[in-house]
Amino acid sequence: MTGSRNQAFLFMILGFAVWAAAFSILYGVQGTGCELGWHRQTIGPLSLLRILLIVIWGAHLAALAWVYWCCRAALAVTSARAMPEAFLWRAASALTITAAVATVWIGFALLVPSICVI
Amino acid sequence: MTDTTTDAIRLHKQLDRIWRTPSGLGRLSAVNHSIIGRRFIITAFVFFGIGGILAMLIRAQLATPRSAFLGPDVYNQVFTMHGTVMMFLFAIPLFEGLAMYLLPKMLGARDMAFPRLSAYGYWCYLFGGSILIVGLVLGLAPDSGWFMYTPLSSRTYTPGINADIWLIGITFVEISALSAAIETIVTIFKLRAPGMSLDKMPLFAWYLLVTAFMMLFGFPPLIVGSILLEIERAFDLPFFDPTRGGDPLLWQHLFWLFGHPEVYIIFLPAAGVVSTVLPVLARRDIIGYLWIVVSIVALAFLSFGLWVHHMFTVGIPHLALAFFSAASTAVAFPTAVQFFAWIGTLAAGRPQLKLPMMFLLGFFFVFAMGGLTGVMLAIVPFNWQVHDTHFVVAHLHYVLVGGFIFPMLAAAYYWLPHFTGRAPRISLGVTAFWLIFIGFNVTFLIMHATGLMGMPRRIYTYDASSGWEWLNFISSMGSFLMAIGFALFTVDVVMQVTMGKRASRNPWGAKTLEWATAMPPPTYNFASLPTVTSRTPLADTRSMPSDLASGHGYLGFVRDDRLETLGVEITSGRLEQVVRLPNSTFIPLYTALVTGVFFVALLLKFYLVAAAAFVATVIMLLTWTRDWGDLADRGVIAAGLGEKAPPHTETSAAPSNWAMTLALFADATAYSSLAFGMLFLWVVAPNWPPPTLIEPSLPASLLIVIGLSAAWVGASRSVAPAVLSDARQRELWPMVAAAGHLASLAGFFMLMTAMPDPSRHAYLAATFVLLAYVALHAGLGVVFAGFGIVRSRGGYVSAARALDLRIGAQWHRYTAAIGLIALLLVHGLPWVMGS
Repeated sequence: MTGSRNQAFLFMILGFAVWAAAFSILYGVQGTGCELGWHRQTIGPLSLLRILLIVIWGAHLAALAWVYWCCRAALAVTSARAMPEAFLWRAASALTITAAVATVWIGFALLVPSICVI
Repeated sequence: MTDTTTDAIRLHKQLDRIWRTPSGLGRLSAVNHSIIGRRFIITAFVFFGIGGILAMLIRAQLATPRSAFLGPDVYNQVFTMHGTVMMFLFAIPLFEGLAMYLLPKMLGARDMAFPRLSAYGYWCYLFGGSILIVGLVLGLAPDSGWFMYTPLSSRTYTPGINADIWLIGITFVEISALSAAIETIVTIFKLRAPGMSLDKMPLFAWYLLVTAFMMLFGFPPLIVGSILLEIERAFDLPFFDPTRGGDPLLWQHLFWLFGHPEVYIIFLPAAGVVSTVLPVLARRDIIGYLWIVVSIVALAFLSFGLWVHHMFTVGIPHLALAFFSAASTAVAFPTAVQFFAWIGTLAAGRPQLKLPMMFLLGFFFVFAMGGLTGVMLAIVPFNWQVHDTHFVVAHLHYVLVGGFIFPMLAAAYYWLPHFTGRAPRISLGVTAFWLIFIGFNVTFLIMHATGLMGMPRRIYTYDASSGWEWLNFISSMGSFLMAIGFALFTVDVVMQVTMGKRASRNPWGAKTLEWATAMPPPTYNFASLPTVTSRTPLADTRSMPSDLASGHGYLGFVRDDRLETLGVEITSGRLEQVVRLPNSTFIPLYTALVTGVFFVALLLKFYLVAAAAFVATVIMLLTWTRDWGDLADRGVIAAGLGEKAPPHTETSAAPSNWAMTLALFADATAYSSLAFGMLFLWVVAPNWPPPTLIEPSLPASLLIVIGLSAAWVGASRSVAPAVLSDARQRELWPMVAAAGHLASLAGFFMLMTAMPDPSRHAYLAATFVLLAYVALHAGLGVVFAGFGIVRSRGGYVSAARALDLRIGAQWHRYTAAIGLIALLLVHGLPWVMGS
C-alpha cells in the first residue's frame, strides 16, 4: 500500500512533468531547427521542422494518455475510502487531464504561424 | 487546582526549561521558529517601509511635469531600489516568516526541521539586505532597474560599484530563500502530527509546499545569472557581450526564468492565507479542497512556461511567441478555479464582514483586475503596444498588491491575536483598509490610462504638453492616501501589541491546529503532540488544547533534556521517527557573519579575503553537526500514547537526508541553467562559432573519468550494509571517494590551465565556468568524505546510524554525474554543433 501511495504522489507531478518536457523540447528544437535551417527542407507540403515539432507534440500527448490510463487503472483498484490513496490518485488523474489540455493548447500554435520568421 | 491543570503546569515547566531562548544578548542565539518567524516578519515590514518611502519619492517626482525634485541619477537608484526592496526584501521574506511561524503549529510539530538553518537564513537576509540599504544611503545603490538588464548593467555602462551591490547583495539574500525552501519542504514532508496524511493537511501547507518547490527551481537561474554577470564585470569573461560571443538576451532568459515564477511564488502563499482565513470567516469548510490542490500544482508548472512573455519585443520567431502567449493565457484557468472555490465557499457559508474579511474582499477586487490585464498582456499584439509603458506598471501593482499585500494584511489582523495574545481595544483597521483600498485604486487604476497614452516606464520627468500631467498628479495624490493608510495600519498594530486586551483563545472559531496552542504560544508549541484524523482537527476534539497541554498526546514528556518532535511517513502521515532538534546557539549568527565577510570582500574585490572567508564558512558549517548525534544505537524509543519509533539518526528517511536531496535538486537546476546558457549562446548569439576550440586532452579526460567513477563507487560502497557494520571499511570507502574527487580535480585543473584566455570569447568563458563549477563540487566532495570519516572515528556512525555517510554518498554520486556530463558538453558540443 505504501508503494501505491508514493506512486500516486509521483504521478501527481508526472503529467505536468510531461507538459514541461513538451514545452522545453518544442521551444529548444524550434530554436535549434531555425538556426540549422531545418525549416527550409520540405517533405510534401510541410517543412521538416514543422513535421518534427508535430511529432514531438504527438509523442508527448501519447505519453500523457499513458499516464492518464495508469492513474485510472490505479484508481479503479483503490477503494474510494482508502485514504490518502484515493485522494492522491484522483488528484493525479485531474492533473494529468489538465496537463494534456495545456499541451494541446500550446501545440495548436504548431499548425498556424511561421516557424522561424521574427 | 485540578489534576489536569497541575499536569499542564508541571509539563510546561519541564519543557520551557529546555526549549527556552536566553534573554538579553543571548536572544541573538535564538533558533526557535516562532522567534525567527517573527524576526523575518518585522524585518520585512521595516524593508516595506523603506520601499514605501522610495515609492513616495517616485510619485512626488512624477506628480508634476519637469519636476526638479529628484535628478535622473538619484531617480534611477530610487526606482531600482523600490522594486528590489519590495520583491526581494519584503515579499519573499514576509511569507517565509509567516510560514516559519505558522507551519509547525498548523502541522502539529514543535519546530521547523532545521532551526539553525532558519536562524542562518535570517541573518543572511538581514546582512544581505543591509548591504543594499547601505548602498542606498551612500548614494551607491543599483540603478539599472530591478531586473538589471545587460548591457546597461554591464561594466561599460555601469562602471561603478552600484550593479555589484545588487548582484552580491541579492545573491547573499537568496541563501535565505533557498534555505527556507528546503526547510519548508522537509518540514511539511516529515514533521507532521501522526495521522495527518497528505489529504488531511491544511491547504496552507499545500500552498507552501508547492511554493517552496517553485523557489527551489526558480531561484537557481537567477543566482547563476547574477554570478555570471558579476564574473563578467569583475574578470571580463564575456557572457553577455555580443562582440565576443555573449548575448544580453541570455541575462533576460536567466532572470525571467526566475522572475515570472517569482510572481506566483509571491501569490501562492497569499492565496494560501485566503484559503485558510476565508472559510473560517465564512463559517463553513472550504469547497473544492481537491481541486484547489490540483490548481496549485498546475499553476506552479504553468508559471515556469511564461517567462518569455516579458521578452515579446526582443525579436523572437512567431511560433515561439505563440507558445508563450498560449501558456500565459492558460495560467488564468487554475487561478480561476481557486477563485470559484472561494466564491462558492462564501456563497454556501454565513460570511462575517470582520476586518480580515474586508481585506480579503479588497484582494478579490484588486487581484481580479490584475489578472484580467495579465491576460491582455499575454496577447502578443497588445503586449507590443503597451510594452514598457505605465500600463505594465499598473498591471504588476494590481497583481502584486492585490495578490499579496491585501491577503497579508488580512493575515496580520487574523493571526495577530495568536502572535501577541492580545485583541484590539479600539481598531483603526477599517479606516486603514479604506484608505489603502481607495488610495491604491486612485494611484493605479488611472495609471492604465497613463500607459495607454504612451507614458514609458522609468522616465524621471515629462513635458507639460504630454497630456499625462493630470493623470500623474491624481496617481500621486492616491499614493499619498495609500501611504496614510499603511501608516494607520502600523499604528493600529503597535496599539494592539502594546495596549490590546487579553484575547480569548481561538477568537475566530478556527479548526486548524495552530489555534490549539496557548496565545502567545510557548517556544515548544505543544506540550504533547496531537493525533489527526480529519482536516478539521480542532473541531473534532474540542478539548484538544487542554488535553495536549496536560500531556495526553504524543511525546508528553521530557527525555534526557532533549528537544524532540515527531517525524512521519510522507504520504500516510504514519509515525516513523523521533526527531531531535537543536537548541539556541550563536553558531548560525557567526556563520552568517563570516559568510557576510565573504560577500563584502567580493564586493570590495579583496579576493584573497573572500577565499579565506569561503573556507571559514565551510568550516563553520561543519561545526554545526560535529558533535551532534548519538554515540550508541538506541533502537526504537517511546513516542508516547504507547507507540515507539526509532530516533531520526537511525532511519534512512531522516530530515537531513531529504534536505541534501532537495539541495541537489536546486544545484542541478543551477547546473542546467549554466548548460542551457552555453547551448543558448552557441545556437543564438552573434560571433559564433568561436575562433578557437579547446583541444581534447586524453590524460585530463582519463583522470576525470576514472576519478569520478571512483567517487561514485566509493559512495555506493560506503553505505552498503556490510560495509557500515565494519568500522575499518566504513572509513575506507569514503577515502576512495575522496581520492576519486582529488583525481578528478587534477583532471579539471589540467583542462582549465590548458585553455586559452577565457576572456577572449563566451565559448571559453562558459566552458571555464562549467569546469570550475564541477571542480568546486569535487573539492567539496573531499570535504564531505573527510567529514564522514571524522564522524565515524568519533563514534557517531554505525550500521544503524549512517546518516553522515548517506548524505555524503548523495553528494559524491551527484558530483560524479555532473562531472561526466560536463566532460561530454565540453568535448561533445563542438563536435555536435560543428566548428
